[in-house]
Amino acid sequence: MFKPAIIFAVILSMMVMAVSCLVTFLGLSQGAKVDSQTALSLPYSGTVHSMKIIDLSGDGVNDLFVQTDSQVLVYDNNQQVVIDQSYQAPLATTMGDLDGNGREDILVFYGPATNTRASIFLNGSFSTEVRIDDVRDASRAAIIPFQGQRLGILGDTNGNLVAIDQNGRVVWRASLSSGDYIRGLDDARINGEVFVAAANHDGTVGLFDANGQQRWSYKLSGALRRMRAFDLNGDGTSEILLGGDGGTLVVLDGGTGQPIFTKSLGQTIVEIREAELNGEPSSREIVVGGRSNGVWGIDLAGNVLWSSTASARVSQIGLLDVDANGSEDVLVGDESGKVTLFRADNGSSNSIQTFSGAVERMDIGNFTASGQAAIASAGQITVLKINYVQLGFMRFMPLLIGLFVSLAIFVAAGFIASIPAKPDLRISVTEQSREALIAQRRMLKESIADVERLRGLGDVTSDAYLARLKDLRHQLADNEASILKAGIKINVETQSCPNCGGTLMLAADKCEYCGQVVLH
Amino acid sequence: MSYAPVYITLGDRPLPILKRIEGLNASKKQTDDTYNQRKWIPWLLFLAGIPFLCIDLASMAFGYPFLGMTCILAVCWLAALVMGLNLRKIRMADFHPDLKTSYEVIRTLRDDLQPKSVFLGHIDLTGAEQDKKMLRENKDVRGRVTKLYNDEWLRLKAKLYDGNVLRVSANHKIKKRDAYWGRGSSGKSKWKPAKSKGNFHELNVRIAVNPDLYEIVSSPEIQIGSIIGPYSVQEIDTNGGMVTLTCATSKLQNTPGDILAVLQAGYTLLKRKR
Repeated sequence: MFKPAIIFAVILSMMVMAVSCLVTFLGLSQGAKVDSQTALSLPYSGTVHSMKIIDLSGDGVNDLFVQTDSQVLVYDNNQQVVIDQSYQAPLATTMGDLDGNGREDILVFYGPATNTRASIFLNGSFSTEVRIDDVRDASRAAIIPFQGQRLGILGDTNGNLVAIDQNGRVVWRASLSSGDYIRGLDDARINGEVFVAAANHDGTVGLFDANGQQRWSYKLSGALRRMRAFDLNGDGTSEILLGGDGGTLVVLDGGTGQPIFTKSLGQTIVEIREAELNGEPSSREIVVGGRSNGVWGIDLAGNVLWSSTASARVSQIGLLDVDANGSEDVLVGDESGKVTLFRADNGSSNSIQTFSGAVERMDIGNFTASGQAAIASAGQITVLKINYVQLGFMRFMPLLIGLFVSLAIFVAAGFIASIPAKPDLRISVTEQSREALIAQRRMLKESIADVERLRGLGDVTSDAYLARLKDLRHQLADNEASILKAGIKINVETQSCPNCGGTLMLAADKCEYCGQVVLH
Repeated sequence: MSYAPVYITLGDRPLPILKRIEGLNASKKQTDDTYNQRKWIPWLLFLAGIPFLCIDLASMAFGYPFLGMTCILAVCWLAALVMGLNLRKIRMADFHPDLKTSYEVIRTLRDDLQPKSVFLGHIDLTGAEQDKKMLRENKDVRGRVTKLYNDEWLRLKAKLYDGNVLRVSANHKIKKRDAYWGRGSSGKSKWKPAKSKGNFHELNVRIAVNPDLYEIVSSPEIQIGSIIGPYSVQEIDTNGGMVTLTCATSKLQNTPGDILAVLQAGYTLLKRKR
């Protein structure tokens, strides 16, 4: 009833539509793009070492903090410079609430070993500056909100730590290790109590309490590049994330200093951030950037959720939920000047913008508008507005494609099914009556006799003789079969060669076509 | 010019044979019409896929991800290819004009056939240059091969109403030298294409005469060398109660009238007994 082409088309179309429906209703087709618009640009000189979108004036509107080789700049929301202070290099800065009034303050640790100083800005204006003795060059600074007191922690290039209060008074001193510089300072919590995690470039990591007492230490093999402290699983105790030249991500339990897991990534780790990648709010995930362009999303169990590559060595990682789906997408700035967005769920990348120089610093926040990225590169701070544009109808695009594909399949099937069959060009118009069959038999015998006569006269080549004879004898065999089927008695005169199947006369004892001996 | 290779075995009354040939022509016309009516559809489908590619390219140009519309393009092109190939399969060359000649000969003779008897034989329009139709193959001193083919394209035997048995055998004889590498006067080897060395039609008509009704006589009009239409008489044999007439012509295309004229000429050698 139905031609095979139609049945095949129906089955194929059902399969296509099933896949289309699956893709559509699982929401696998997004049809969205991420683009950026430059909101503003600000010039700077030298290299930016620290940059943050943060409310430093306490007016509820964010400012832009920038620290270069020897300068601290703060722009307000109208891009007016509100702080512009130069210092003797080297320079380390940090922001935090040092005086406990709920506003962000600035701590600047600067100068060489001969003249090391700490300068404090409270409530957006200069407060005090003190000389810090018995330390080497300034390397790192952090404001830690310990219980009972908030301290500024200063790290030098010899592994020394100095804690000062909001007036610049030294509260305690400690040493992590000597001979190399403090590479990281971060606040860590053990059951809610605040500690400071410090890391030396030589790989030594330690946890200090509010009195400067060291709780534990850990030694990372190889030079340490990045130390971050986050409470990834929300249990009140931070995890300490370490990465360095060894290419291994080490996650320590903040309470004991023991590794929770290590993950070899095969390249030097240059940046680590905590992020919400999978949209599961009970735990946070980790984003790691590598020296050889690698970018990984890793969960707390050490499983790689996705991996991808940037265009060059990763220099900065920022997090931004561009599509407001509860997962933070990863903005990566690299040394080629390219800023790329990696989607939180699968790491698929979208190029955002390319700058002429390496991305030195990047911060995500709400400066002049929400969801902005401030990027420092090649003497210019560019504030980008990252936009997520979704085409609503794209959700149903797979369904539309499925319908079009099915239509094309049906058109093709209908076309093929309705093509008339090519006529058979070798036909036989033979009557099956007794007289007609006997007459045909006589005619075939005449034809065979003719061919044999020609053979006798030498008027036909051996090959042509055999071919024609084979053809005629085959017709004779068919005729005999038809005669027998019609119930007419005749003496059968042909037989088939058991070897080649060619039709032979009954008396033949050797096949003329293949040479096979025929036994009767 | 190549023709569709038609071979019809004859063993039936005239009407079924004629109907079958008409059916063959009708099928051919139907497939030709289908091909001509539909040959643009695969091209249309091929072109119809291109806008979908453009949608994808435009989407990507504006920064949106690949929409997958190119899948439709791929399916359209695949469908166009399948349709094109299927359409190509039904395309066939024209039938040889000798099919129409044979049809007309059978149609003309249909009323002369004895009741309940059938036309026997074949119409073989599969082409002359086949190994099984080769009569001789000669090689000259330069190694050039010349082949002689005999293509019996029409063989017809019929018992006529007057009791005579008519046998017609139309043969196309071709002598052809195969292509070969020859050396010219400059000493260079050159490829010489196949060449026709002879091409003519031979028509054999044999009438086994019903002695109760006819006697064989001679006719001044039908002598060796007489011209019957495009044919010239090559051989006449009236011995043994049979009239055998062999005619030849270099005219390449037979018409029914030419063949029927020779048949009629054979009958001029018969005189009805009173």
